Amino acid sequence: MPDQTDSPQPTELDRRAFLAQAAGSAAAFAIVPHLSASHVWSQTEALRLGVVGAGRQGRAALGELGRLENVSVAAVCDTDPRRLSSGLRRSSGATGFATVDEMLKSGSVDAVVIATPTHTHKNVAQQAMAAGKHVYCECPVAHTREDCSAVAQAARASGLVAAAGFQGRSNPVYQLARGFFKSDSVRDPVAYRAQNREKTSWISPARDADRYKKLNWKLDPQLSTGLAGELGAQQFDVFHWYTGRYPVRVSGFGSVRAWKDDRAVADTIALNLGFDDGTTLQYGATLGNSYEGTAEYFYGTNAAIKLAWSHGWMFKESDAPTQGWEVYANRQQFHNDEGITLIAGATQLAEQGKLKDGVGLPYSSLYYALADWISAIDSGGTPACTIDEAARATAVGIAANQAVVTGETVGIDLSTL
Amino acid sequence: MGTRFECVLGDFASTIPEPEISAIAEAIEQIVRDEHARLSVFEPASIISEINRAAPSRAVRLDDALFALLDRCQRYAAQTAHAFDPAAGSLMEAFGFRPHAGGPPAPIAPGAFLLDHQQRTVRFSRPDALIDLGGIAKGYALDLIRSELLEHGATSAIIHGGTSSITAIGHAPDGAPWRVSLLSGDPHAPVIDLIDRSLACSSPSGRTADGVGHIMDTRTARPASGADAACVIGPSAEVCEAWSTALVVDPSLEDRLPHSYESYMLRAEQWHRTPETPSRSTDTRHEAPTHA
Repeated sequence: MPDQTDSPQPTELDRRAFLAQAAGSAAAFAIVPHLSASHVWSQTEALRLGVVGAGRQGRAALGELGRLENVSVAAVCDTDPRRLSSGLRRSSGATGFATVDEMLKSGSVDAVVIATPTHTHKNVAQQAMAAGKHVYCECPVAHTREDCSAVAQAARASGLVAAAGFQGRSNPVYQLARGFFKSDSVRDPVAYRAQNREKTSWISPARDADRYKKLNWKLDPQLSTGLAGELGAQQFDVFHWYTGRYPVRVSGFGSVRAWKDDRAVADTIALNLGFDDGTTLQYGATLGNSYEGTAEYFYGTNAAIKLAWSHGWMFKESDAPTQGWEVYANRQQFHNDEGITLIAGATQLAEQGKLKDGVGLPYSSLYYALADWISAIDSGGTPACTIDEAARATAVGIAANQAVVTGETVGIDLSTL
Repeated sequence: MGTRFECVLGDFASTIPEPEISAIAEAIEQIVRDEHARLSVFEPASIISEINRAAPSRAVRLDDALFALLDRCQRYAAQTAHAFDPAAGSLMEAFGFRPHAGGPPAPIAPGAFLLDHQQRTVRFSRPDALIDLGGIAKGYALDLIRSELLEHGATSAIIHGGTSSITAIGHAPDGAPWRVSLLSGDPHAPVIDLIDRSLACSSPSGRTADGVGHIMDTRTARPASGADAACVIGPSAEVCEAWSTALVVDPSLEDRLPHSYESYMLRAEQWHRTPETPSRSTDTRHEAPTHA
C-alpha cells in the first residue's frame, strides 16, 4: 500500500466515496473536539486558576495551561520555596503561595489544579472544594482506598466540576481508537497488555535530609502506591473505559532490579489483572529500561490496537475485512507488521490532502485533559474523567500494588466506590 | 535542540551517595528533555511551534521564562545589529533545513516579532515570520543545567550540547582546567582552558543542506559566510551561543563583544583571537542572563 503522500490525488468521486465510507464507520472517524489550541473560555472574565504543587507534573500543567485561551494562572502554591520559584517562572504574573489555605483565602482563584504528592491529594481537594473551587486532581487520586472514597464523596456533594488526570479519556487518539474498539474493527477481544518502561531512579535530589525525604515520597512504602498505582492506574483506566469493565482480581510480582540503593519500593513489576469475562490484562513496568516506553495493546480477532499516548495504530488480521477508509489510510511498518496510523480528525485532514500531517497529536495528552476540564466548567457539563471514575481506577492501582507487595492474589471489589 | 548532551560530574561540595548523583544526572537530562519539548521547532507540540502557527494572526501568551528568553533574544539581535536574529526560521526553511512551505528567501527586517511586556505576549509583524531558537537553545539549556548543578553543590563538572556548546564548573577532578580544543583534528586549532566559563562555537560547515551552511544572515537573506568558525568564551553559554552565531555572520562585530567575553575566529584558515581593546563594551546589559 503506497503512503498517503505518494498516492495520486483521489478523484472527486473517490473522495466522496471515501468521505461517505468514513462517515459510515460511525464513531471510528468522528471528529474529536479540542484538536485546536484555541479553546475559548466563554465567560467575559478569564478563569483564574491556582496550581498547587510545582514539581515536575505541576510545571507541566503550568506549561499547558499557558496555551489555553481566556484562562489565567493566578496563583502557584508549593511548600517548597525552590519549586515554588520554579513554578512561578513557568507562569506569567502569578502570585506565589506557600500554603493552600493562604491561596484559597486570597480569593484569587476560581479553580484549582492539584499536582501535589499523591498522599496529599485528599486534603487539598477537600479544602479546595469546601472553598467552592472547581478541581482537577492529578492521578492517582489518593494513596488509600479510604481517601479515594473521601475525595469522591466530597466531589459529589460539592456540585462543582471535579475532574481527574486519567488522560486517556480526553485524548483525541484514544477517543478515536475507542470507536474502532467498539466497532467491528477489532471484534472479539482476546487479551490486553500494557507497559510502562522508563529509565529513571525516581529520586529527586536534595542536599537537605528533610527536604530529601519530603521530595522522595514515591519511595516511601507507607505513602507510595508503587509503580502499579503511580504509573499503572493511568493505563488501567484506559481498559476500564474501553471495555466498560474493571478487573475483579490481580496478582503480581515485583522486585528491585535496577536501583540497588536499599529502596523498599519495587522498581520492576509484572501484573496479571483478570476480568469477569475471562480476559486478562498483562502489565509490566520498570524504572530500569525505557525500550518502547508507555503503551497499551488491545488484541481482538480482527485486529490489534496499539496506543502510545500521542500515537495509535491498528494492525489488521489477514482474514479481517477491509473497510473503505483503509484504502487511503496512512501506514507505518513495524518489523513484520504494518500498522494503520490512527489519526484524529482524519476526515478533515484527508479533505485537505494533509493526512500524514495528522500523525501524532499536536499537543500533549495533559493539554487535552486540562482543556476538557475547563470546557466542562465553561459548559457546566461533565468532564471526561470524573472523580468517581478516577477513584475506581485508583483503587485498582492500589490493589495491584498490594498484590506486588504481598505476592498474593488480591480480589477487587469496587461496589463501595 | 535535537542533539546529544553529555555531562561529566567531577565532584561535589559534600559527599553525595551514588544513587543521588544518578538522580542529579537525571535532573539534568530532564532539563534537556523539557527545553527540547518547549523550544524545538521539530516538535509540533512545542511552544515555539505553537507560536509559529499562531503568532501571525494573534498574540500568543508566554510564560515568564520564555518571555524573558525572547526578550533577551531581541536584545542580542539589537546588540549584534541583527547578525544574530531568532526570526531566521523562514530562511532555515527556504534553504532546506526545515520542511519548506513558504516562498523564496527574503531579508527579514528587524522587528519581525513583537513582545508586549504588559500582556506577556508575542505576535509576528509579518505573516511569514518564524522563530527558530536553534542558535541559542543549547546555550540556554546549558545555563539552566549549570544553575541546577550549582544548586546541588557541584564543584567540578563539564557539560556539552552537540559538542558545539559547553559549560564548565570549577576544575577537572585532577585539578587542571577543563581543556577544550576548538576544532578536533586541526592541530593548529586553539586549545582553551575553561574554569567556570562557557564556550560556544558556530560554523557554517557544522551542518549543511545542498552545500549551504546552516547559519543565516537575516539582513541579506543569504547563508552566512563572514567567518569559517567563531567561538565565544564567557560566563553564559547562552550569550556565547548568540554571539558566536553573530560573529560568523559579521566578524567585524568582535569589537562589540560583551565585557568578560572573548572570541576566536577562523578566517582564511587562520585562527584569530579577539583583540583586547578599550573599545570593548562594558554595558551592564551584556551581563549573563539569570534564570532564577
